[in-house]
Amino acid sequence: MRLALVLGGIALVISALLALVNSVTAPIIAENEVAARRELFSALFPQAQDFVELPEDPTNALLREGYRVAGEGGEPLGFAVIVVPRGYGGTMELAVGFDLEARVLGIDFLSMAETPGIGTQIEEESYRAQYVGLDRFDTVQAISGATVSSTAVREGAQAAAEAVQTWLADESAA
Amino acid sequence: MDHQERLEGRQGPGLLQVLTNGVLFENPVLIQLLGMCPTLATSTGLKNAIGMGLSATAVLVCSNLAIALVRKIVPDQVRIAAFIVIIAGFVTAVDLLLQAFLIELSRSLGLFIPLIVVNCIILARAEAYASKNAVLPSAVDGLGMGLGFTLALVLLAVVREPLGSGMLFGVRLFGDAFKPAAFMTSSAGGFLVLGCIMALVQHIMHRAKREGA
Repeated sequence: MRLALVLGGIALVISALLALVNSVTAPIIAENEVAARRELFSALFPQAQDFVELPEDPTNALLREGYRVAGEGGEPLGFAVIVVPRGYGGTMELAVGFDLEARVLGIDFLSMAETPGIGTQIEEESYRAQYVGLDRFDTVQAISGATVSSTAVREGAQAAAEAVQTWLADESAA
Repeated sequence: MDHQERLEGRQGPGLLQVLTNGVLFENPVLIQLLGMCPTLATSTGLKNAIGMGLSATAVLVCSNLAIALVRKIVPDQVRIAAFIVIIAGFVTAVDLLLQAFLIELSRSLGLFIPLIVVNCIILARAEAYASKNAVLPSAVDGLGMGLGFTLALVLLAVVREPLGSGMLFGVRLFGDAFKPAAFMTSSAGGFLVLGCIMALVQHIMHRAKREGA
């Protein structure tokens, strides 16, 4: 009886403490996420003014969300896509920017939980730059020692490219 | 060591001695060889080393303090469960605070912040010290051990980051001609550096002891 009471009491106090911390940090974390997304997109599309969300594609398992990006006066600039491939440390959120011909403008990460110093090498400019200008990614070199992380990025980029091609096909059909 | 610590606890060593014990004479990494996994993984860069060290220090101080506070009411049979709940609570709090206020650090340490829960340094101090000592010395012990952990991480990172990636604190040190030895950022390279640092520490301590005698 005493065992359960003590353990339950400790769990209760700790839960209360966490609830308190969470109530303070949750809005700030959400705000940080929105800010990170905005910053990332404006790095990929410096002239972007408007983001229109594109329809979901239930057949594309890795796709999270996609936007048609427009500049001043509604001039189309390309597509911003967020995909969620599985890396070594769980799901990562990868943002890929495409031009109107479905070629990559740049890739960046919203979040990831890859092994620091090993898997996180996929964040390095020298790795990410390999994707720029491509619409297929067979030629991208994986990072040795971080194959799982590299493969996740490549598969994510591939899923994003397929999504953009679907949207482009839908548009030209309409 | 357990026995010795209990003896010291009864005689009440000075708080300063508790502190220096953690940082130097019983350094959790360099002497006790605890917490090898986070040590090797987060000491590839100075920024991560300091972030990880201070996060673990914050958890250690809080958990030691809380555990010393409840040490007399927690029955022996459930003490490990109780300690883990307390430690996990503080780790989660630190994780949330980092995500809210130090987003860069939180991103680069990623998985290793939640993994502080299973860092054996923290449970070891709870078992060996905080569950047997008063609140204030326990908090100081947590601070000393945490700073000792940070010191070891920094020593490792100062060697590994320049050799392994040609940078220090994320700043490039050398020109383009410098080819970094990627081996240094791997865990095997980390063990190599750790061994050298431990040998050096032992050498210095032996010499100090001989001169003192």
